Amino acid sequence: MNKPQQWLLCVSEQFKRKAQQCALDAGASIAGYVRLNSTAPTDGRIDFDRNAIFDYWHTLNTKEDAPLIFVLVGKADQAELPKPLVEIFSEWNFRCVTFVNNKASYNAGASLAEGCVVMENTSLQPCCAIGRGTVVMSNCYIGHHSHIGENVFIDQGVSVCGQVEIGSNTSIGKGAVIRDGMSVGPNCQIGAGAVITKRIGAGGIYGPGLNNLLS
Amino acid sequence: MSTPIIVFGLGQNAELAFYYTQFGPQQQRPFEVIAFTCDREYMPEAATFLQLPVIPFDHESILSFWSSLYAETPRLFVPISFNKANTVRADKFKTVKSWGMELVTFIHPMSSITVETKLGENCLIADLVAIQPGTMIGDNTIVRSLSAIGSNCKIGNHCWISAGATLADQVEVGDYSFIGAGSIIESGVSIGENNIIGLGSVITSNTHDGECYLAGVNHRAEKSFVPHL
Repeated sequence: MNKPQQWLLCVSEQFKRKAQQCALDAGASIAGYVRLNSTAPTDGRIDFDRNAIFDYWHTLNTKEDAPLIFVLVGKADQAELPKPLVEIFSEWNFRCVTFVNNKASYNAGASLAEGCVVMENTSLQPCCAIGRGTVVMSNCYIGHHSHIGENVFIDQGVSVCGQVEIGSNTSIGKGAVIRDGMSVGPNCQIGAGAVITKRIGAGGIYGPGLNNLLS
Repeated sequence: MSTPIIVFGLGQNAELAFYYTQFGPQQQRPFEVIAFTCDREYMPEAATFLQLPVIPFDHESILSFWSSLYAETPRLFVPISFNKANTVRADKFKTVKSWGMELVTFIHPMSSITVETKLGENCLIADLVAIQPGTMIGDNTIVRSLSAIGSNCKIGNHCWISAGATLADQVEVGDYSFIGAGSIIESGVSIGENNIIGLGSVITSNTHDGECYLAGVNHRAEKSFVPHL
């Protein structure tokens, strides 16, 4: 068990440095990079293909281990894919890394599903539950008894107060605040600086300011 | 060695406090919750909460439970919510004080507090809070996660500072005031007693006692907007 973990990185270009830092913090070594799509640069990267990743992984590891992939993609890259990346990898029987930075406050009673990434100075309050493939960037607050769905992207400095429900595939911009007891439906886009103090349904787009519905 | 405490309440705030005390490796935890207490009419049938015993909140019950285990005076922690403008918590605080029992102050290991900061009794400083030097915080004040409090601030007794609030330098906050999540108080501003500063407010000038503000810059409103407080 003393062998360091090996990760394959499947990350957006803007998060490449961040992902390298995450691997360093977790004491994992980077086994290689996976291309996100066919237009991404090829320099030494593994094609986004099940067999290609398997073959590459098995040159480094035993056949029994499923490939371990660190996933961190922005909303723009995710939109080009037919399905959430973590879902694709789990259909291929790969494992996704669940990562919590050691400078984040991961309280007892909080639960994280597979493939979650939580960055530094983020506070996961007791009894919050975060779904598969959700990314929480730095300086966020995820309140107690909040339930975050799958593949949600929460950008820096977001405060989600207590008992909030957030649907799957929603993205929340920098510095947004969501009031306690409220809910945000699936597939919403909450812009930077938004303040949400009511329950909002699926697919809404909100701009900065108090409950500022754009479309 | 963790100090044993009894936590008041069976709600989410008590549950939070319980999990906060469980942060980090066992030998480094400052407190260990040994039981919960609540008013007699709220006693659960099984008399347990989170697998720990629940004792009725009266002097004799607490004293007899505690003295069967420890020789020193009982230690309690009352981390309950801001209901009725913090008066519910203040009442319990005063009751415990009148019984001559000790109230503890809990500082989460992930918060950063300088040695020059003075804290009263029964305070809760949650995770990732940053408090700059020279700040004084009164009794029974709860500061929730990720708040930033500047230098030389004076926070009164029985206050509640929600998650992500930012208080600049030399801010004064009167007793029983509530500061909402993500609000920003400009430096040198003094907030009166019994104020409600709603979520997302920005306050740039002094406020009077008993006022209420909502999201926006100095956006004053009637207190009837927030009946639950």
